[in-house]
Amino acid sequence: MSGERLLTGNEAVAWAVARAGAQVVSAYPITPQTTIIETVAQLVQKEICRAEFVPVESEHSALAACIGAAQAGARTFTATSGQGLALMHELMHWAAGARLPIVLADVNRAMAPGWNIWSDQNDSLSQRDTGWIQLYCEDGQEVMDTVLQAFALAPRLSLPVMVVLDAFFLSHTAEAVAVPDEGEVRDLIPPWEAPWRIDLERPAALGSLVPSAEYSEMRRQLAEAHRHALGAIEDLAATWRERFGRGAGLLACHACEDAEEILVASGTAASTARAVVDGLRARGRPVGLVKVRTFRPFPTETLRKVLRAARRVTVLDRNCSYGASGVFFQEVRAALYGLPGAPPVHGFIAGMGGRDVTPTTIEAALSRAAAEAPRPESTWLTE
Amino acid sequence: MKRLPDGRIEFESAAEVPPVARSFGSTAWNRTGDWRSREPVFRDLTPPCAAACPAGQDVVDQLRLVAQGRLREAGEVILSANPFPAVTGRVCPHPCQGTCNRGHLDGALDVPGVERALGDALLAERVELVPAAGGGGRVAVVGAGPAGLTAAHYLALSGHAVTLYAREDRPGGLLSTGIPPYRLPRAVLEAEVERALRPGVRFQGGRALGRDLDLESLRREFDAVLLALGRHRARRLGIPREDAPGVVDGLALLTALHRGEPAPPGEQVVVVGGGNTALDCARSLLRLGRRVTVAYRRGREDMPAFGDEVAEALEEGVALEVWLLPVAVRLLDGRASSVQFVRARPGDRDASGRPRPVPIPGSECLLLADLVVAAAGEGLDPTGVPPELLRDGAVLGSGAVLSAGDCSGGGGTVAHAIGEGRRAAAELTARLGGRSPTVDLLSARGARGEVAGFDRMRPAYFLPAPPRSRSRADAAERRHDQREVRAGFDAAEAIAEAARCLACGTCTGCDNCYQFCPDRAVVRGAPGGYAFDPSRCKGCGVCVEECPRGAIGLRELGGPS
Repeated sequence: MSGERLLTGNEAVAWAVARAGAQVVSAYPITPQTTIIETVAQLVQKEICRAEFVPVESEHSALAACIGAAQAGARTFTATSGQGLALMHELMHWAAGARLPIVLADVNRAMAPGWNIWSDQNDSLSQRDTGWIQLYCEDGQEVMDTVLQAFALAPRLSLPVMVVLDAFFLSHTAEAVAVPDEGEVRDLIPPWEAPWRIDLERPAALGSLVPSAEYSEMRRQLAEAHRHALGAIEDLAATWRERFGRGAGLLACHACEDAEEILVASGTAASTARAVVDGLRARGRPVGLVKVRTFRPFPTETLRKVLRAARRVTVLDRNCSYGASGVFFQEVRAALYGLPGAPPVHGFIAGMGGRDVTPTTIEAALSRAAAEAPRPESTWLTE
Repeated sequence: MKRLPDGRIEFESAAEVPPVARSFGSTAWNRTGDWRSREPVFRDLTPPCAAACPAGQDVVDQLRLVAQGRLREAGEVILSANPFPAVTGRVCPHPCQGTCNRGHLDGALDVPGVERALGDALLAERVELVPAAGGGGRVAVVGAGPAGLTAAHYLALSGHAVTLYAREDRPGGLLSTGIPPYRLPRAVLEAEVERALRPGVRFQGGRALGRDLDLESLRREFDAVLLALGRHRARRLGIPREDAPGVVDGLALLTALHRGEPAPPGEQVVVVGGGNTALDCARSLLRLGRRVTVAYRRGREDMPAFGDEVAEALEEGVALEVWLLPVAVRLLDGRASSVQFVRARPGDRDASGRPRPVPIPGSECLLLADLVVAAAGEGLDPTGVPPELLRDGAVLGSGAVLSAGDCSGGGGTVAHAIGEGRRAAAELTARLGGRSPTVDLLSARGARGEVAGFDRMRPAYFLPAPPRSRSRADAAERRHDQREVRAGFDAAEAIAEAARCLACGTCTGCDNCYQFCPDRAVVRGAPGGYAFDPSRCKGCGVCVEECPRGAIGLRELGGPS
């Protein structure tokens, strides 16, 4: 039966894994992700989740186990955070290069040292170029729906999908979450039937030596799959709205139609930003909000349409690409490149290592953007 | 898409290139063996239990066969090293168990428990080795303890004409005169001795060297003579009045009790000593209703007696006083009435690694005793042994005369005596002709001398299986009679316990190497189990790492094998 449950973000991930019909789960505990796999293990034990749970000795092994299981055609899930995701890095490339439909939940955790278990996006953004789809979540319901959508997208595109949620703000905060019944999503989650799935009747060696020309063609196809993903994500979002009456696609726009200034944010900071936007609107300032839900593939065309009429764009980053700027800031500027009359873009970094991003922080960003000339670097909001 | 003659595929356009690389052809063309700078060596190591066994038993193989329920084959393995498993399963201090790698996990194997059950079953099923013809020598064995009996048995199995001489009327030596029935039931001992003699050993009892026999005549009469005289001359305490009435020698006391003679009078007994003889005297006299105190000159942990024996004696009610040095026997009306001691403290360690007892001046004390048993150890009785064969209190072999067992200064346990007897028999058979029924079992199956210690093992591969305990008869009841103290395993328990053996250093055909080899280079079914295909093995060493038992080594090419 579908119904609402009081779930933390991590519990929402686990319930979605169960409802999606995951068949193999392999993971290694790390804060703040641990309660995901603990809950999955409990659901497996209660036979609510019918997956084989494979305990392993490291995150590298966890993803290796998922790669093997996925290659054999199993619907496969893992979860990690911070250093754990970094340890998976080598196999992140493998999973995407082998075009395997693995779903991974990353609970954003700051990278050590200094040792810090709280939220920022440098762990997931360090995996930017591995070929994984990356979807960022704002609240418990979005976590539930995005994990289910990840299981729907992965086999259609033969791409691995990472679902990203903020540590503690989301992972450990409970909200009422509608949990769809298995029957409500079953038809949206197809089996994976790519020809390179292991077939005992037709033995093959996989991942063998490939000359340069063929290799680059395979990589071009990987890039192409991401372009297809843009449409697939929007199609699925449309189906979701039809069936459940909720949910966004590549972006979630709020009060953008007539906005002169547009804020760009992601994750739980988008909730705070929305409240700031509503407050400023009430005082007559025409501000809007774009929440970037899909980071890979990056929704360049959609973003250009949304931002083209604005007079100013302000990007909030809970991350930093050291030596450059905030990552979302870079991506937004790149998306607007060559667009005639494109608005200036201002970048601000706030909330690293789980530091609070308050309405005051966001208002300070908007004020400084209004007062200062745009710069290629991000501005650190450290007060 | 075109398939080229060498098997490669050529795409005519980019559109033909699939998203991932797959190869449906064989990868056999990829001769990864060329990369090899190291290679595996499939060879067994010596298990720690076998390395520790003074009798030279292949403990792992005997446990394997017991675990598989193959009684007759297990019997052939054990009897080719030790004709007395039912005895050693009861009286050996089992160093095998002390070194068992399973002790690092959930508890060492009860090897003696399995050995005893196997030994009893072999007697019940009348399993024995078949004599081989061929040996034509005539051999005299002097002494029918475990060393002499073992040598005579194996010599007779090789077809030699063996005469076994003993001081006592009956064979058994120390096994019968020195080990009381509550530790070794007479029926068990007699059945194994009888089986040992059955291949045609001619037994001559009541014939002592230097009294009824002389070495020169034996030399003339026989092709070879084996001296297995044991050690049965009491070491003296070296204190005043130790020859007084009421003072007896421990080994003589046990021998008298074995012969059915009455025990000397005395209700309050002090036994001076800390070895097995001292404890056997104490427990035997306790069983006759006496009150017994054992007085030892060092600490309890320094006692040469087996730990189990000390624990069982205390459980039965024997009192133990330690760090007491005897000073003198005191008399009343010409008979022992007490022993005077001086207390001692631990001093420097001696050659045995134990602290030397240092008397504490002014700490003299008395223990009342109307019977004093002196059991300070036993030495060689050299009667009848020519001086040129004696050195440092031991008998040396020379020419056609060999020596074995306690008299040759061996390790002092029954298992040592059995091992020496077997090796002496093999040596004589090598000289006199015939086929030896005993082989070095470990080298026969290609095991190297290096011991498979716990660091060689991969404990993650072994499921927990805690040992099963064997009970003892109730101490309050057993102190009144000769019932066997320690319970044995039944057949099912023995099989289950044997199945706990990790087979350290020994290939069991588990297939781990075969499964884990990334190049499919491990070949099954080669002689001895596995081999590697040199055209495939790239020397990665995964098989070596994943062998649960350390039965695969890694060798540098061009280095030593």
